Amino acid sequence: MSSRTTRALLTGKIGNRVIDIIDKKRGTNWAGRQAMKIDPELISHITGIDPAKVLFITGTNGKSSVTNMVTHILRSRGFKVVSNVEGANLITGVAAALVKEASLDGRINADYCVFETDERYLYKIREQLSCDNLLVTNLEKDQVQRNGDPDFVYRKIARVVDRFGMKLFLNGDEPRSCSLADRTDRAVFYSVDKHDASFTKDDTFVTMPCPKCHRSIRFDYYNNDGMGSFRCENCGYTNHNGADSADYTATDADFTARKFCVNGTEFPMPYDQPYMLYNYAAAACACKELAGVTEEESAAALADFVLLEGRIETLEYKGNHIKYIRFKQENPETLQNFINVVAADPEEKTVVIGIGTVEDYDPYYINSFYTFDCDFSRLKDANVRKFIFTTDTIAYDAANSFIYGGADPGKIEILPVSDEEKILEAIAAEGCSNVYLTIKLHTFEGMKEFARKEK
Amino acid sequence: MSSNYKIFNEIRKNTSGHDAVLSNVSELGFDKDTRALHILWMYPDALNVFGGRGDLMALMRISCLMGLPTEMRRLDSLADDIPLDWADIIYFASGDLTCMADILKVQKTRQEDYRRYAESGRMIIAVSSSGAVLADETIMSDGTSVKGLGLLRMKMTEREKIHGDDLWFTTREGIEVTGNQIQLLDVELEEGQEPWGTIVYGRGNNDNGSEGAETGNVIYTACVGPALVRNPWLAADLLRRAAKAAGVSGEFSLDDEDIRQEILSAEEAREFIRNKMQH
Repeated sequence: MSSRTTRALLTGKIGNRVIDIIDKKRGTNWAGRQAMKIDPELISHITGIDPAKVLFITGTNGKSSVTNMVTHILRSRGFKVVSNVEGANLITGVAAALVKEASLDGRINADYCVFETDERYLYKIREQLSCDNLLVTNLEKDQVQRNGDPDFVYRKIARVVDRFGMKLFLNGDEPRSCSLADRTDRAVFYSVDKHDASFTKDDTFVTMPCPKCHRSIRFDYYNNDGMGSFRCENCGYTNHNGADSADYTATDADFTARKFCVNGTEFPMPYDQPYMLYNYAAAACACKELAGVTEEESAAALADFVLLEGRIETLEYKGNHIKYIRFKQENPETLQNFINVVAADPEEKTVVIGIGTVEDYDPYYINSFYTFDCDFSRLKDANVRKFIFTTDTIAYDAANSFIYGGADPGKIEILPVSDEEKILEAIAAEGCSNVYLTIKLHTFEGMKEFARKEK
Repeated sequence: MSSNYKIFNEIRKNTSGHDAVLSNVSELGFDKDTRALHILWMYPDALNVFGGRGDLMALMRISCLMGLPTEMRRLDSLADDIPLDWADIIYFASGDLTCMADILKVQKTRQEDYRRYAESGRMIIAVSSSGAVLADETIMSDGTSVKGLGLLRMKMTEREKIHGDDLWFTTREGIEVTGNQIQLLDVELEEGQEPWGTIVYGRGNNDNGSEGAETGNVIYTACVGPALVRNPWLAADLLRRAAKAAGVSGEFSLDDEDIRQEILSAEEAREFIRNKMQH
């Protein structure tokens, strides 16, 4: 090992220690960045890694959850796993995770490496770290400011698959990522059966172009927005790339009893939001294919699985029970999930929606066009007393998308502020104790802090 | 809120089947044989990236508010015949760039019909990447190129890096428009081609102060938002122009009281952009 790599390793280890002291839950891009400044090829100089036991997990939604789940299951079976579970998913985050576990001579002593990887950095990471296994959760609209259309990301991933020829674990119910199967002879599919929370959209909604022939994809139903039973009426492309069934299928979902099955084995459902079924199925699939962990063993491990920020968080304020559900800006699937959760509750409720400025990249901008993919009509008969639209930059516009989508304008209140105290006071003034809230995480954290001080 | 808003929702609710016509003719109290304005929504599933569905919702909603009899059809399949004789507005929303070659292959078989359609003064609107349909040529980053219908004298080139930001411009007709721009393609207007507008803030065609292109009633814009939701006065103007070209007669006015929400939304957007311009 060169002295440069040794210096990079030492720098990375010190950087990791510093981050640990500041906040153990923080992502670790920073330490990796410092190390890679010294040795830009650092990852490729780390030894002791068997490519057959390396898994990259990428996609638009769910990659953090699946990475956490796979790592948890493997560790619960006694395997030593190197992973970036804190969510630093750029090449520097992968470097930081490897540096942390590597000896001073740059050797990794672990059974498996499981890395969440940013879709756009996948090629760069794979160039330095040999990996035979790639799990793609889904490819949806997201971060259009850097990704443009979802096909842009598809092409990036396809380039990796074409160049390096990996075994693929694919969501058989999401048309775009599922079609990556055409690029390998080693594709394994996971899927979710129709369940009580499955839904349809009327014909005024759009779907997506077939990734193979660019004609229309039709969905018989959705299990999650963009995922479900689909077919292309032109070329016949359908679920699990035409195979009769997926290799791993989540069935018999019971959201009340919080359980489901994968290939006949009963699993507990630690988080009961419908989209999590895809994450569970993905994790069961990856663990069995990668490490031979049986469905029974995965099910046992899931019983004590805890996902950071994975639950509906709650906040009590002046007798109001506020349920907070995160959504990703510019990603209609997560907003649709919020709508579906709200619509599933028959009790009277206030709904607070804080679609705000997009601040992922420079320049910051205001964007709500993705909301027009969502079906708000589900909220029409959802016993909503009041919709409160807030944030100081885009509240009126966000409310417009609900009005155009079928919400009753008479039930809409605009609160054009981002001030936590004012939002909480508006909730309290409404006088309905059952409250659903979706807003930026830092605003919610500010609301929690304010509520705590008020107590 | 006007009762016409309710009509729009009822229309949505009562429409099913992909060949269905979304119509406000009877709801607005017109005789069923009344000549309505015909809007053709091109390939909604293939061209669905930046909220184009909202533009169609806006055209329908604003036509209701203006009392303009309007019918809308989706053209779902590339295999379906393009009803150019029926349409008064043809709308191409933005879509995946990789779809453009297939879409153009079909449109090019009707190139002469499109030329006659445009010369008759009927309207075509293409948004963002779908400008490739109207352009002379579009060059992709892999070096391949596709020839467009050539109804607008412009050349588009795929950008290495996407440019996403707010957009604020004034059309040649003097209409102020705010929205977003997710620029996958730079646009070069050829000699003699008029832009659609002048930039107040944003990149526009090629960071040169111009936005979009317009010849007669054939319009390309990069503006998404959806632009017609965020700027209902623009939707109203386009509907009036198309109605005039189609011979649908009447006084079609839009009451500010019916679009108060949108007016406040636009003020909010302009304020946000002004702050960016100052810093």
